[in-house]
Amino acid sequence: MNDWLDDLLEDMPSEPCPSDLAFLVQARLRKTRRRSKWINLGLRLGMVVASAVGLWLIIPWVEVFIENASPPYFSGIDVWLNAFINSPGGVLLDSIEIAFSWLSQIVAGFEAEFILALILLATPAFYGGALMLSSRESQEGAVA
Amino acid sequence: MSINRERDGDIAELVRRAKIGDPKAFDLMVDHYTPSLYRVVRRLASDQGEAEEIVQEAWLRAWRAFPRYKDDRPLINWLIRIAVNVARDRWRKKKPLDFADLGGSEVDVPDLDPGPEERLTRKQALERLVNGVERLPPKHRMVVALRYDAGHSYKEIADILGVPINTVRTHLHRAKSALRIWMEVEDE
Repeated sequence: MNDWLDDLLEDMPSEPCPSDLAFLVQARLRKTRRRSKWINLGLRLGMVVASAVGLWLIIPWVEVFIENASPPYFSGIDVWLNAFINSPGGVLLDSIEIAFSWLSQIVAGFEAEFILALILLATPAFYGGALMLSSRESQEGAVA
Repeated sequence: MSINRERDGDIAELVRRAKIGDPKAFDLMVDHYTPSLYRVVRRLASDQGEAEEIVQEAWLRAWRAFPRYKDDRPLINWLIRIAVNVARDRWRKKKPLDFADLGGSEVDVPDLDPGPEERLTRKQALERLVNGVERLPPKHRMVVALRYDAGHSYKEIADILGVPINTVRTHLHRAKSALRIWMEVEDE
């Protein structure tokens, strides 16, 4: 139930909105948009440069990688299964050891250059993925 | 094109366009909603300058967060919620802020009949009331602004402030108790 205070509160005067406030907001928004446009442009350019440098660094390593990555000797699944049935513990340990030595063989050939190239290629890939996800999100939001 | 003549459907179209990053659509929304937003924010802020800064900051945050805005609640409520958060952030930074507490305890002041406004001119009573509202603690001013300046229901206020509906009732009750005392004291 309304009383005299409610009645007054409903009638409470308020200062009119300054006529230029919306204009000031729009001006700040324009400035923000312009700045974020330049930041995005810089980021994209940076990602292109990173990809190019990454590719340039990784190309000489492709051959090394192919050599090192040749799979370890494997006698066949039936032989492995027979051995596994006879002595599961021993075969499992052997398999793990082979896998580890194969991985360490691959990694042993790599130098800092290769790791740097991978980082330089991975960063733009993640950035691109994040951009795609955010643009899809905004499009889905727009049609929801 | 005057946005004030836009109908609800056109507003929905503006929202859709703004969501996909159309800056013109967003600017038209700024034209349309700034006066309503300012009306609420002015009541929360200590002066006109602070109110303008809060409104500007709220719009900047709204622009960044707009792709995540969901149409299931009115846009003005969403904007007010952002503005309230901006105001809270400012108050937190400014602490301690010297707001005179006009009595947070639940004092049940008997309803005066006839009300003191009958002994004053209505204009004077309203001026005093505005001064009283300015002296309320921020959380009480917020509910007063949302209830009487924006005309929201208790449920909407609870949604905007992110508090239970009973908290809204309590804050409003305390605010009104304090205002009754203020009006009486002023009247003597």
